[in-house]
Amino acid sequence: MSAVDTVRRVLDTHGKLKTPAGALTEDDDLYAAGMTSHASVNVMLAVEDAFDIEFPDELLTKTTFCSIRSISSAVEGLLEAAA
Amino acid sequence: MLDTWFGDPESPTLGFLHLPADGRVRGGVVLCPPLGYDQVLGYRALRFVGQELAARGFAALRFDYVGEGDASGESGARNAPELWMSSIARAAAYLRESGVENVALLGLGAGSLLANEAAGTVDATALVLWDPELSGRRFLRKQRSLFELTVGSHGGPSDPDALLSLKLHAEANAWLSAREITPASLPVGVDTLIVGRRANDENPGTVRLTSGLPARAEYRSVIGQEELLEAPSALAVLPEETIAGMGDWLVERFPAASVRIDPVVVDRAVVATAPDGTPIVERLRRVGPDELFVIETGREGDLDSGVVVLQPGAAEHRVGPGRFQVLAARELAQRGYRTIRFDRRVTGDTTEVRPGEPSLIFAEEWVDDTDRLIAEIASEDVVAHAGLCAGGWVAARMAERRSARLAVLFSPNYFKTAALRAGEYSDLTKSEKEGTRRFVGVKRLLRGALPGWAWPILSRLQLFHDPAVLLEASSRHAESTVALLLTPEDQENFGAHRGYAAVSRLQGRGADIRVTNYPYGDHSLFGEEVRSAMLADLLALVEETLPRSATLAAGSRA
Repeated sequence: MSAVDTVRRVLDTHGKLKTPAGALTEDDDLYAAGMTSHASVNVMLAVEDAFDIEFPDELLTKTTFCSIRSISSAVEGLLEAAA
Repeated sequence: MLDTWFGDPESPTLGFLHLPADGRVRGGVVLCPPLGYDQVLGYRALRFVGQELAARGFAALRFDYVGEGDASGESGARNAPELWMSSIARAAAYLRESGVENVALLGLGAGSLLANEAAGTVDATALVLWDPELSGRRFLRKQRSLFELTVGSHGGPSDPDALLSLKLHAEANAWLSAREITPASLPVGVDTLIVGRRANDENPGTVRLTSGLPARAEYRSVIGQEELLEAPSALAVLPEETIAGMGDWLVERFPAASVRIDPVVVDRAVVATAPDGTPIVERLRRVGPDELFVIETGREGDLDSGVVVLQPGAAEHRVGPGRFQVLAARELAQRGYRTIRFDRRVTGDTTEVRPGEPSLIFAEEWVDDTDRLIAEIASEDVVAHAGLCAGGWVAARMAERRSARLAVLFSPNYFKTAALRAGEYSDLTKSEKEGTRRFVGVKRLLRGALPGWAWPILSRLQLFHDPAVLLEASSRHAESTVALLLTPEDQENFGAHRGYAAVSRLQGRGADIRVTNYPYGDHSLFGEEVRSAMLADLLALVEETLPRSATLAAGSRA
């Protein structure tokens, strides 16, 4: 499963989105799609669990969690750094 | 329900004891509150748990940890873990000294980590971990992330370790970080119920816990927690079924035989000492037909000073950012003023919790509550009102209704004198969340395009917010000062509604209106820097405008 697919699965469980993550493009604004700050933190923790990574403080911004692409990119960057 | 101070007289905490109607109990339950923002959102829910347990024959005790809420002490203490643990132990001891033989613990959120830790030492009969944080480290990362995502750069000169609604010393942080709820950490020989979120069923921590549960532990996966602890407070929904389930589970763990208990009620406590050695005393009261819960603070024996009435924002209480009221009350008392903090209807410890009860944010009922409070206990005094957001609106409305020497509005954003009806604020919040709120774009367009002469005419109809309406009303009495304390987002809103022009106009007519613009800070005052700055400004405004106690005034002249 790709990072994008995993992020979509996590969003469906924890994102509190008004529409399924599969119906969103990678660049759609997740906050506009209904994700709250609380939900974005739950998404963050679930993504960390799924990839066995930890988002550093500098990535704890709304920008990191604003779209499927931004989350996936952050994940890939952290996986690369850990490799 | 009984309101009482209890614990160590040197560091008392405040408790609320729920009892069955006939005063006979089958056992006791100590309700361990969460830490962080859950403490704010879960406050009324824990009160509802207390009510439900009392209906099932239990004595249920809610309390504030020393250093939190209305308890004595400072938050952020190095020995906070010791204070959390001793607060739980003293709550259990209070129940036992009242005549309760068997005591259970019930913790919510991070309160579960503390209840789990304490269960062995307080000899708990049973343990309920409700929506538990299974890892202290994960909980702290959550609070840290929430701070960054909700407050972020608005927080002010940054504290790189800031948490949302929680101040922790590094040593307390390390202690909490090391706490976990795992099969191995559950108390041995204690019946334990863990009630977790269904959305967390597949989390590694949940899987590890559920796959190795000891014989006397049970795990239930439930829905509805997010609607309680992750919704705006005006939209929170009580998970009634979950709460009933926990109550029923506890009933099965206690013998049916009941005993009459005899709890000691203490309505007065010394919570601090003034620099001259005078005790700072807090007294608990109930006022009016709704039995508003009130705490009066003052220097022992001094009854002749001005009175400051403090109110929180939204439908909140005095935990989290709302603790500014407790700090303000005790600081002002040391300076020779009396203060009153209280719960308005449908908040904190005033009025029983009813599922689905309407929020009274910006409703006339809260102005009426404050009015009744003043009439009953401060009608002869020189009064100041101070409050955050919705509390500030009540302060301004009180200055309009009765003459007040000072009204201090922290982060004001509602400028009509026309109140909302009960529940209307929740409806507005809901429609805004769903993107269905009407006329927002039209009003924004009108605000920008209206010529100067047309603005006051339309604003008098209160179709949109014009700060002039509220400020003119609240400053209309002689010798009345109105102070606005604005964070950057409130400055933007105030300016967009032509607030600065209104202030200049009213000042030109002789009104004493002050505006302080802070270069940083978030509307809700999660940021500690802005909260401290506003508190300091409140103290200065009170000292400038209100008479202090004759004892201190005479001392300062000498």
